[in-house]
Amino acid sequence: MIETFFVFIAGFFFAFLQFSFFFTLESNVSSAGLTYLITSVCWLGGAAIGLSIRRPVAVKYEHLMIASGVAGFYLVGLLVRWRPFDNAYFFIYAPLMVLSSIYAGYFFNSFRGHFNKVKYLFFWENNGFMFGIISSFLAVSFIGQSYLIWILAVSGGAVAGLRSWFSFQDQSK
Amino acid sequence: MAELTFPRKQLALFLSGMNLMIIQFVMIRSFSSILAGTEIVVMIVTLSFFAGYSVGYFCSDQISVTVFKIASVLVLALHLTLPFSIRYLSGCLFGQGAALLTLLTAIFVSAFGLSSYYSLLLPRFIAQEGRESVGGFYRQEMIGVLAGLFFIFASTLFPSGSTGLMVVYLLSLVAILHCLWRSKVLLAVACSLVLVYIGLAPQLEAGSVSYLYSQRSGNNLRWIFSADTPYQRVEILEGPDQAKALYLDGMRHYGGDSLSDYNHYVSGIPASLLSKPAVLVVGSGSMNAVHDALPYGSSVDTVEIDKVVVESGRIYLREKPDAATEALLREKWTLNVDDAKHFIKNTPKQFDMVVLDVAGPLQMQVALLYSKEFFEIVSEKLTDDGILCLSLNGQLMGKSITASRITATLLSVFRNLYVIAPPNSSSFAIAGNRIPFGRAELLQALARRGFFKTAVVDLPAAEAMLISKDIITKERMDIVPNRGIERLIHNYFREHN
Repeated sequence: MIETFFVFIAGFFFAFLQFSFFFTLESNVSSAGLTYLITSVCWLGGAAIGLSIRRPVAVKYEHLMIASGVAGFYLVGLLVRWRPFDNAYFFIYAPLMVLSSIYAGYFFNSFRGHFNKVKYLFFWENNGFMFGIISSFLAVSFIGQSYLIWILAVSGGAVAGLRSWFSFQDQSK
Repeated sequence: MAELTFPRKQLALFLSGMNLMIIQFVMIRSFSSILAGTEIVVMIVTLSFFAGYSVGYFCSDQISVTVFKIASVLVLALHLTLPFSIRYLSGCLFGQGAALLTLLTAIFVSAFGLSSYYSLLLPRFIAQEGRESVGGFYRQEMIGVLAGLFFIFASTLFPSGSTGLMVVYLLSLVAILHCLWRSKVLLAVACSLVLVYIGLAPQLEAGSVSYLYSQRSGNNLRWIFSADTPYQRVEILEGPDQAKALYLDGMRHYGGDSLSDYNHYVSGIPASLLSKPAVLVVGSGSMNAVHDALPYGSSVDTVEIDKVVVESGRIYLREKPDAATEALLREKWTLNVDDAKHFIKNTPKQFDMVVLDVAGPLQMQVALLYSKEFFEIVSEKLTDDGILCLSLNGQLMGKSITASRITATLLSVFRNLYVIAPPNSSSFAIAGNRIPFGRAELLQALARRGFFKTAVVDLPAAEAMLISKDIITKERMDIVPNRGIERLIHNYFREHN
């Protein structure tokens, strides 16, 4: 049960992070197709890099990946406020977005052994992702982009905390 | 399937990732057009599409190889008819007055007919190869998604890009099925069907769009032009009286008397009251706002995010393609293909008049153009006597919340404002810090164009009419879901059911 919850929350966190990048750049830099393209390519690229890390890493490095993901968004958020509507800074935003999505890929390698069937990993992550899409849209619409900061910190913290708990459980076995 | 080699599995996953991206794009554009794509409708279709992934993941080990192969044939048969069959089906349902059923069909098709098939593959292959293959297989699918993005953006650069994109999609689907079947006969049949698709696509595009819009509107409409762009689906149709209309994501943006009057109110009339103004038109589907401002302006700039809208508008929607207008366009007009926020913030130019000729705040990126932050950017680039002209997307006198909120947002940035209120359509606003004409001059200008019944409301009267003073900001974009839900209820749960 707790595995399901963790994977669902992780899916939520990944969707929220991805859509937060998208909303932030769309409203503070440009709504042009290039923004969507760069955001999507960087996110997918980062996830592909994460999927390429096949050897297990220590949990502290997973925490680092999650923290870098949230910090990457915060940095982009600060930069777009410092330089609003300036395309010239995409060369900074792009690597930060890649960095932010590495855990969205590595997560699948890290957690692939926790379900009796791998399909449940994809199933519950995808359900969480859908919940994240709806939530990010409602959050941006009703409570504002400033709150994305808090929601990402809390959901990122929850993912990191639960990951630690599973690591502790694995070591206890 | 059990005997599929590892490289073939990788290839199948790469192609399925690519196809997932392409079909998501094609169907979101198609359903946006069919269902009049507010952000809420796009969200519903997107979520249905993602729900299809979950369906596929869940069922991946519950169907036998035989059933899977039969499903593959059915998927190919269905996808060979896309997106035309969906339009014919939706048109038929609209014609029967079954609007809600059209929406439910869109959700059902998205969830079960489009994405679920592809998401069967990944867990099945992983189950066969072992858990260690998760990273490698899923990465292949991700790289395929990236390739799909590339094809989508490449397709938007060419006039027949939509058909080209579907051909790439179908060939990729045939290749996936060949990986699974390894039957040369079936491969030859499938490739032949794709060739038939290429041959019939232009007629089916024209026929299906004409049928859908005719059934939905109850009038006999004829397809003139359509294209899927990175921003929206652009369609131009012609009515029985030869009048053409522009539809963006299924919503009429230009065409019909009230929408033609729009350009007089936001462009021609205010421009006629200024002395040789430098004009900026934000968004320019029909080009009529530009044409109305050209005779009065010293220069007219257009900023339009979607080049296809301007190009198709210039070719198909010009009311008077005369030599004099052409000369004025060459002399005074500049097209800037950019996001309006980005362009206005970065342009060194100052303007005497900015015209907002965009759709209503039903989608997030458009709604940002009605926000306080956007009006502040416009204000920075207006001269001291400069004005901003826009539609309020509702009747201020008719207690429209949207009209009230846009007016309140304007008043949070500008010191003065006039509301132009035609009797039976949306109100319009002219806002500025020092508007260089008065109510009487505005009424005279309206009368000169025959708008005798149109009222003009000044600032104190407009303030008294506000039923909501909630301003629209980047931090409060609830107008998008609120209006989207209103439309959804109106279109699918009230009017037809």
